[in-house]
Amino acid sequence: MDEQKQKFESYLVEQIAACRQRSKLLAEDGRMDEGNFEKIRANIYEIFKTIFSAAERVCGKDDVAVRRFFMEKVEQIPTSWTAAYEAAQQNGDVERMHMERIKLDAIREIRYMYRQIWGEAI
Amino acid sequence: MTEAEAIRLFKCLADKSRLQVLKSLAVEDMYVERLAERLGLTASTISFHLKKLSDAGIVRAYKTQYYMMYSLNKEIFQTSILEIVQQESDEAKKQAQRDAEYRQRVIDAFFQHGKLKSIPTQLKKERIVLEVIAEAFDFDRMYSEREVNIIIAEFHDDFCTIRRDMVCERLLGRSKTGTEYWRMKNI
Repeated sequence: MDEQKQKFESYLVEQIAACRQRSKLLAEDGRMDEGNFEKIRANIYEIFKTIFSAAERVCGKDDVAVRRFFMEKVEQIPTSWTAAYEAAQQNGDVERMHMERIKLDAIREIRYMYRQIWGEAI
Repeated sequence: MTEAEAIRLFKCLADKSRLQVLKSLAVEDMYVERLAERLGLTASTISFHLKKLSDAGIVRAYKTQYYMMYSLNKEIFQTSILEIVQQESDEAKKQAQRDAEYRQRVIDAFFQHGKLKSIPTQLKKERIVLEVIAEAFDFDRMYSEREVNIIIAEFHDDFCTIRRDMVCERLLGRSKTGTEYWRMKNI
């Protein structure tokens, strides 16, 4: 379990660093908006890294409880993003839609990596 | 084009990806997926940029049988930057009000009971003071140097300096012989 947790945490850390690096490069390249999208993406990874750490703190050595705690948040948090995306879609707000999509894409990638590591669906 | 529109236009153009979108649309009208493929961006990102470009009036959308096509609004590019800069500012009234308030502060600081307390060292302030003194002169009338001195002496004892500065500032005209003066217009 420790190895899996470490792998998952490393994945999140790497993603945060990669997004920040891309954000920097995009901004330097005169693509400010896309640079900001990468910051949004980095924030999502950051949020779930914090949640994962919190799960470990709250649940201690109980690995099942850690994963349950984390999974609940992974389910719960994006519901507001989905709602915001749908509301934006109804109002034809393409900018908001794009931002919500970035968040939803990031959480999908997190779910995918979680499945890869633990071999179970969230 | 209003100032707000100009700002939106420039902000919109100051992005490499949007500039690439425009360059592609300059070649031919395109739809989102085609632009995404061409520029190596996601369709969602392209839609985001197109929305900004549409809001700024730079691109137009039109429907065809299968796609929503986007085209350049070429008219907007016919506006020169000079034309935009030369348009009256939306803040012209505010600026004029600030200027008037500044002018009044200078007058209040340098005049007391109609007398000039001292000649300002700052050119901008001296100009305001000289303009006030110039109002004591009538237009379309010639003054001898003595008359000029008497009028200026009502404000300040150093009428020589003030008279010379008023000529330099083109508030007063002076004949070549230096004997006649007049108040200059449209300064």
